[in-house]
Amino acid sequence: MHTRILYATAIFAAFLLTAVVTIVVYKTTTDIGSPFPPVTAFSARDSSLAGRQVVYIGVVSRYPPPVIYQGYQPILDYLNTGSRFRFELRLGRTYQETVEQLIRGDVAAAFLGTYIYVRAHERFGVRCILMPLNENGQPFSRSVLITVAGSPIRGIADLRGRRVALPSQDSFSGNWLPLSEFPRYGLVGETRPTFRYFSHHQSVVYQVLRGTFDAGVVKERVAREFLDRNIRIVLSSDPIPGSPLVVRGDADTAVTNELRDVLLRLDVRRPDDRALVAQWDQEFQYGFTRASDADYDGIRRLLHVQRGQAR
Amino acid sequence: MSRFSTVRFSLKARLMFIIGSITALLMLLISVGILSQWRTMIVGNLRQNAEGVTRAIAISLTDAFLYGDEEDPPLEDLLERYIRNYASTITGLTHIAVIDNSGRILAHSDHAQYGRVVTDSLAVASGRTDRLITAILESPHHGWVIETVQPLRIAGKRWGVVRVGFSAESTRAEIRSLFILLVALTTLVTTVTLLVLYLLIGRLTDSLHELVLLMDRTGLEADDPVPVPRRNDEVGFLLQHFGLLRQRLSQSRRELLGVHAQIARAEKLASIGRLASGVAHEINNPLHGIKNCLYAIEREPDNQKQITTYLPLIREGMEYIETVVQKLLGFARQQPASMQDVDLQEVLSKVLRLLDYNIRRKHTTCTLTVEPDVPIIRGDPQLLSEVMMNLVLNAVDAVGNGGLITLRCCRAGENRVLIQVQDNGVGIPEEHLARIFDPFFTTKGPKEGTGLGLSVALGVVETHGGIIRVSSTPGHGSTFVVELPVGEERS
Repeated sequence: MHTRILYATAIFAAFLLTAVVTIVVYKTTTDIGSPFPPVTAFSARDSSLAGRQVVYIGVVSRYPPPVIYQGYQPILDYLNTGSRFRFELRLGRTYQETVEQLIRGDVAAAFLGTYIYVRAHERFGVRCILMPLNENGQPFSRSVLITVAGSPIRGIADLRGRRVALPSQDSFSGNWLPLSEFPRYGLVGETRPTFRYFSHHQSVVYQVLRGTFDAGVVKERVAREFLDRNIRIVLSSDPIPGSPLVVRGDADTAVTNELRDVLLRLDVRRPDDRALVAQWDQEFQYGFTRASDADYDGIRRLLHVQRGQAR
Repeated sequence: MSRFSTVRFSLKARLMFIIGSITALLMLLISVGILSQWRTMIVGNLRQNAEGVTRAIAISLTDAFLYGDEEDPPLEDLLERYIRNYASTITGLTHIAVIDNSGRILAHSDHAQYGRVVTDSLAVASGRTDRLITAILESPHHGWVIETVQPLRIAGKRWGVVRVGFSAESTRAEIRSLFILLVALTTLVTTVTLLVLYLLIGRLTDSLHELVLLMDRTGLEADDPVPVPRRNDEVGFLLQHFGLLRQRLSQSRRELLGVHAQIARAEKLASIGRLASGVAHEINNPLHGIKNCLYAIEREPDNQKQITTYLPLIREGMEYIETVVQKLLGFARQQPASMQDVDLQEVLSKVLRLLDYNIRRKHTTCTLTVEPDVPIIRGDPQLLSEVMMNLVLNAVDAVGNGGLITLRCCRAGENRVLIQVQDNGVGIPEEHLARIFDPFFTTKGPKEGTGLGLSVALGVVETHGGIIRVSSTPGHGSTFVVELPVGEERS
């Protein structure tokens, strides 16, 4: 009898234990909120920007907005480090809109294109304070003629009767061929290639890649991005002054000086600075140098040619 | 008779309990392991899908911030359009909200939420990181929901976050179904295992039971082979070897009985030797008388009166000698043990008559008392005579001249009788008491005893189902008590 009670107790205990384990497992398993949320290891966000004076920096619409944010926001993050201002990007939908923002004072400074700067300087007296250096440490850049890799186009002369995609009409790249190269190669009148302007340099590349246009002109920095995607550089322009950072003629010197001083402090020969600029737009990855209006005289001459043609 | 029901912790119950417990535990562990893995996988898939959709939504919403205009169209309108589109096309979406950096809701799938400032833990957590955050929680409105928070940002520029909720009810139902399935499978496997185990162990214990019954009904004396069931497993092996063991035991017992018979014969011969002197004296006296009569007749062959007187004496002497010799032959004759009715009065009297000379020679007084209620018992009279002969001879040897030997026979309880042989001799030292029944143990000289008498007596008494007890006080004498069963037919 004692043995039977012992066995009965053991079996009852086993059943009881099994029931408890089953309930615990059920509760644990069906509580799908556990172990979520894995909200750990936050990277602390910089909250020191709050309360600072907001200073907007404009950028001409040379690239699509995401590309501009990707390449220019890190520059502003750098400027915000240790500054008493909070620099914010303000994009224009056209080159002209950015100039207008600058003139209206909506933006304290703007990254303009070479060509639009010369025109804005003439009209509104804006002044350039910095321009980017290239990989050789020189303040120049280039525009390039591109085609797809298998294209028979080998030079300007081959563009006769062809379709050419160009970026903004207010950019140097948008004017280099029409103002300088087509006349030089006698591609005028009926022989002049048909061309069309597009909002962004990347749009020009996509048109060429799709075959909608036989060739296109973009900044060299953009063309290099697509060299591994069936794009070939046919021709490069002469070196032109880099795209300047421009302020209004009566700009706040405090902002101007801070922009200039902080950006000129960069020395990409230093590993820390080199790592810093790695996330920047390629055009600015070699640092800046002071810019003067005289640096853009060559572009100014091109503009005069345009006006001569217009008359 | 062995009965398995009397086993306190049966093999069957123990095996069932131990193996059943181990099986159930293993199945439980396996099930929990599988459940855990599947749960992780199912929830992982849910999370992956939710995060993938949220990232895609975030790209579109970031573009809305990039391209949206404060006037044409207003950013909120653009966000509203996007959200309505997502809510109508994405299955399982419970809510979607665009929240600016200050926690204010810019757009929400539920219009009632517009303008509200979100301050819950997820909002706080998302405000501290630029990574996507995922949480699964139970909502009072939507049940189980997986909620993802993805910052709307490019590089260091952050416009806010998008919070997207997806119903996780189906996922939870899937896990619950899996749980039920595994519980059912575990129960089924455990039950089937226990059932199979029960049958197998039952078969095993039945075989053992069969073996036990076989052992119970098998006597060691039986020479006939007991039919052993033919089996090809370990139980069959055990049964087979039990048969062999039984054969070996039977053989040993036969050999032992043979040895016992030899010992008994040897002891009998020794007893006969010890009787010889008494017998010789018994014979010698009448022989002397016969011899003297014959001498007188030869000297006076014509003396008819003397012849007439002596011849009856000669006949009487011869008849006495014949009687003595017949008694001796009767004792020495080898007779197979046969159980028959035994009158202990007669046995004891006969023994005393045989030892009369030995008793008288030492001027020993020997008394015999047989209670009137002593029944006839079942036994071998010849063997019992030998036992009594040995005990009385030992008593005669133990007492000195003028010693006293008392034989008493009485009933001991309902079914037993008791024969007591008591003397007032030298007694047995205490250190010898435990060994006196060992074969060849003797304290007498080489020509006086074989050391087999008490050993044989013990064997005979045990063969009859009785016992021998002894008590002794050195210097005061010994008492041997033989207790015998009356026997079934007489009890």
